[in-house]
Amino acid sequence: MAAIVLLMLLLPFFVCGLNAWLNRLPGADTHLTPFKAGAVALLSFVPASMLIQLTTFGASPDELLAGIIFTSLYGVCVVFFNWFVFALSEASMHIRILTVIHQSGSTTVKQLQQQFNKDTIIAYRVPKLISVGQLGIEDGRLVVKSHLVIRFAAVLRFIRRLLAIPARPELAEHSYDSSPLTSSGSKTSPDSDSFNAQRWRSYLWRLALFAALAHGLLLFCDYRIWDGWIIENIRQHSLWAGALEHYSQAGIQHHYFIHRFVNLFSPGTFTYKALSLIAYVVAALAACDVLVRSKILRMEESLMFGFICLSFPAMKTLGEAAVLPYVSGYALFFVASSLAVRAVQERAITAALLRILSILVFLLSFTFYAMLVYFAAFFALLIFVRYQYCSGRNPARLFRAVLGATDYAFLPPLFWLFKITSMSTYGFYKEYNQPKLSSEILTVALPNFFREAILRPFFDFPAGMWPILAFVLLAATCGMIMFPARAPSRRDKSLLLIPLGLGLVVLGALPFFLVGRFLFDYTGYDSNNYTLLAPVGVGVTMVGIFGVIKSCLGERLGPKVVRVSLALLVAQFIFVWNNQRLHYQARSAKEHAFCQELAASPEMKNVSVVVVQDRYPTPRTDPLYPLSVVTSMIQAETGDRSKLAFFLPNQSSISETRIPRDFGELGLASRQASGFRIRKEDLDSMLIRTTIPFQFPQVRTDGPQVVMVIYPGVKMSEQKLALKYLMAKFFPASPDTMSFFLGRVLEIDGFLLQPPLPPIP
Amino acid sequence: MISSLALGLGLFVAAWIVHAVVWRVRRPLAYPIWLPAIFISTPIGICLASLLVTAWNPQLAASAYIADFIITAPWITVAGLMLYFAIAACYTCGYAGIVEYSPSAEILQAVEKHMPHGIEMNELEVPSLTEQALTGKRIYHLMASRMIEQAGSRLFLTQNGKRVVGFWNLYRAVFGIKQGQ
Repeated sequence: MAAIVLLMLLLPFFVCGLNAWLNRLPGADTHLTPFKAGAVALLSFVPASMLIQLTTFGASPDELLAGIIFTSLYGVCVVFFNWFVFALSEASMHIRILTVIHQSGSTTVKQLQQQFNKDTIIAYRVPKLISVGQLGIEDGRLVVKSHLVIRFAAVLRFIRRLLAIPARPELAEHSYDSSPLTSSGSKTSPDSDSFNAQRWRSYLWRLALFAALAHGLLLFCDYRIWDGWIIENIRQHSLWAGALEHYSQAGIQHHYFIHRFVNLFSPGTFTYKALSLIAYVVAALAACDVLVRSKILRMEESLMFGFICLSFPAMKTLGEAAVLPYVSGYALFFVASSLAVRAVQERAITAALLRILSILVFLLSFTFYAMLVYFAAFFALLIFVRYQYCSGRNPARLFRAVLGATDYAFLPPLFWLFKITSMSTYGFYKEYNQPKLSSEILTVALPNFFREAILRPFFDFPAGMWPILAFVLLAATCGMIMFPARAPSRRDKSLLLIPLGLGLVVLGALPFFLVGRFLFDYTGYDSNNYTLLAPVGVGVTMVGIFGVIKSCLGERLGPKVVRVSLALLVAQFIFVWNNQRLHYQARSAKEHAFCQELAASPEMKNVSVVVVQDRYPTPRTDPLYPLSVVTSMIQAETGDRSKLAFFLPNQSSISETRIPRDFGELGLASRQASGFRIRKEDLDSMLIRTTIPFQFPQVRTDGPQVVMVIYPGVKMSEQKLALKYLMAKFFPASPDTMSFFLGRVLEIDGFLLQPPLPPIP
Repeated sequence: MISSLALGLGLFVAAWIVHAVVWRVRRPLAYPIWLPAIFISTPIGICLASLLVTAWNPQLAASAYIADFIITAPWITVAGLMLYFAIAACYTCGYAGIVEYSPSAEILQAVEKHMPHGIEMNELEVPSLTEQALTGKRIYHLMASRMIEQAGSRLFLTQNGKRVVGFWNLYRAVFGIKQGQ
């Protein structure tokens, strides 16, 4: 192999040397010498290297074929390179311009244009094209003799399209309109799309109306899911001391204060939903504001971003009491970002006040700890904005931009110091959410996150929509290939938005990766919380993609295609949101029905432990709550704090087989199947493992135990069940309408568990 | 040889994708600097990344394979790299033809429109050969590459420009090409 490499090294020298020698021969035609030298070189190099290869690697057909391709390709490349450099020295206009300036000392653009005008070029090139056989003269007229160069030009046009270079020279003309060459030699400044307050206000109204369309249903729903039931139980029974202990252990004491604050004025599910919704909309609007003011997006792009950011179905648990603190932190962060960007653009006292205010709001927003990492994106943006307002040359300009934002750089470490000194985790949560680095972040977490949290929402629609989607994608792809770039400068910026948006998506998920949350599940309750920061990144990415499509399709077709695509996309997102809310509401109707049956049954008064077997599973979300949630639900709905309840897995009837965290070790399914009571020690152990045993001090683990099996009542779809529930709630025909309706939702069967058999001696 | 061929072609495809992505994000005006930089840095980046990733997590098969290949088959790697640089050099040279809209090709296309009868030389019209396309754009590229500079309305060679002219004069002298040939 070393011999072949040596031959390869010698080949360029051989070709060049031969070419130079041929040029010096008397009567040599320098147009043809590179080809002659190349032919000789190839005819000697390829057989020589093949000979070496045969002696080294043998006569394996695969190796032989690869060797022929390899040596021929290398030889052709060397010959081409020699010819190109040779031709460059003769014909390149770049070189000729340089030579002319060198010979004359200096010149003007006008003089060069006179010297290299069209007629001169044609007069120079036509004889050359005739000499190499591309053109010919017949009866005094120019004719094409060979199509080689024309076909090669077609290949070049194809490569231009791939590289977003205008395919024809006339299409490229406008892209040089802003050429730095002016008569005075100064550079023109780029056209900026400045912030327009009046236009922005009109956008606000449109975005607010859109938010009502996408999320209005939330305000009419009264469902509670997962930890929302625990908050409800705390609220109803004033278990605030236990709540403080729980949140303190987890290092999130501020959650306690937020819930106390909310319940101080107007307790209830509606308040939580309304506040969450306001926070979510404010965050999207503030993000829009930041992106427009920093000139990352143009005004019209910000509207598109707002639509996507408001509707992207990321945190589908939005409106739930337990997640309000996260949504609040998310909103505060973008409000603080907006204030900080405005502070850069304002002067004197206004700037100072805005800056101080933004710092304070940032510190508050960091109570949603993921923001500490996401802040990196804002800080880069702030440097970018400040850079635009700094004067001078780099690197001093960049240095001034960074130096002016130093106070912001200290905020995350400052808050982290405060957190580890005064809000550290202990008790059950001692090791909870501790940052740790692992290579699995790249190999497991990141692909899973993109698949589950980012891509799946785009494809979450009824099966009948798939052909439409396939058609749209196909049409978009064909459009991009068929139509060349018409406005490269605009498309360039849109393309820049795509990696920027994807970077924001990754940064939003990074905090959860760092604490080991790798397995995102599209429908999972936890996963929904982890994706709160996804809409901003997805919004920026989609604006970039739409920008590319628009400029690819041209000014006439592009905007129409983008408008239709955007409308279809957000309609799909709105469908996903509302469908999810109806799902939660249907599930809630079932829970209300179950608790109503439980409260109405006189036999249940003395029962302490309720083991629930659900044979009426609702699909799409994880079906079984853990013990802490079911117990809170039953305590909140029935008002009886002595009861403990949990689900039994029933894998034959539940499609999604997820074992709740309280199972596994106890083997409760087999005990229940045999009809025996669960031991008190087992129940106590289960209570401890809820991590909030202090929330259930009145539970009697030694009382009577009952198994309750839930069956479907009147069969109807989830959506229909939810809508009927809402109708019964808001338009009751009589005071009993709701209880009558709930009585038909499900049927319940139950039996008492017997004391265990005495141990066999 | 299969490995060398695959390495050379694979590296070129990877570097070309990097080049296409960079060009689609923002097409650099100083392409004579950017294009070689991309074609030189991409294989170096891939090799370094493979070695680093393998050192960090040996379980990652792809990077381990590349790292193993570099370490255990140096001559095959060298041959593959030589093929890669040969193709990359040709592409870099040919790129001028991609971005500059060759006047020769434009003339041929203009003549082809009049086939089979052909056209007289003095009637030949090539609308795409404007002053901007012929001269303005090239001056623009030379300025972006810092080979010439403009002071007032006059253009001067920079030190870089003088070096380039000096190189081509030397080349022509070595290869026996007379001025204006």
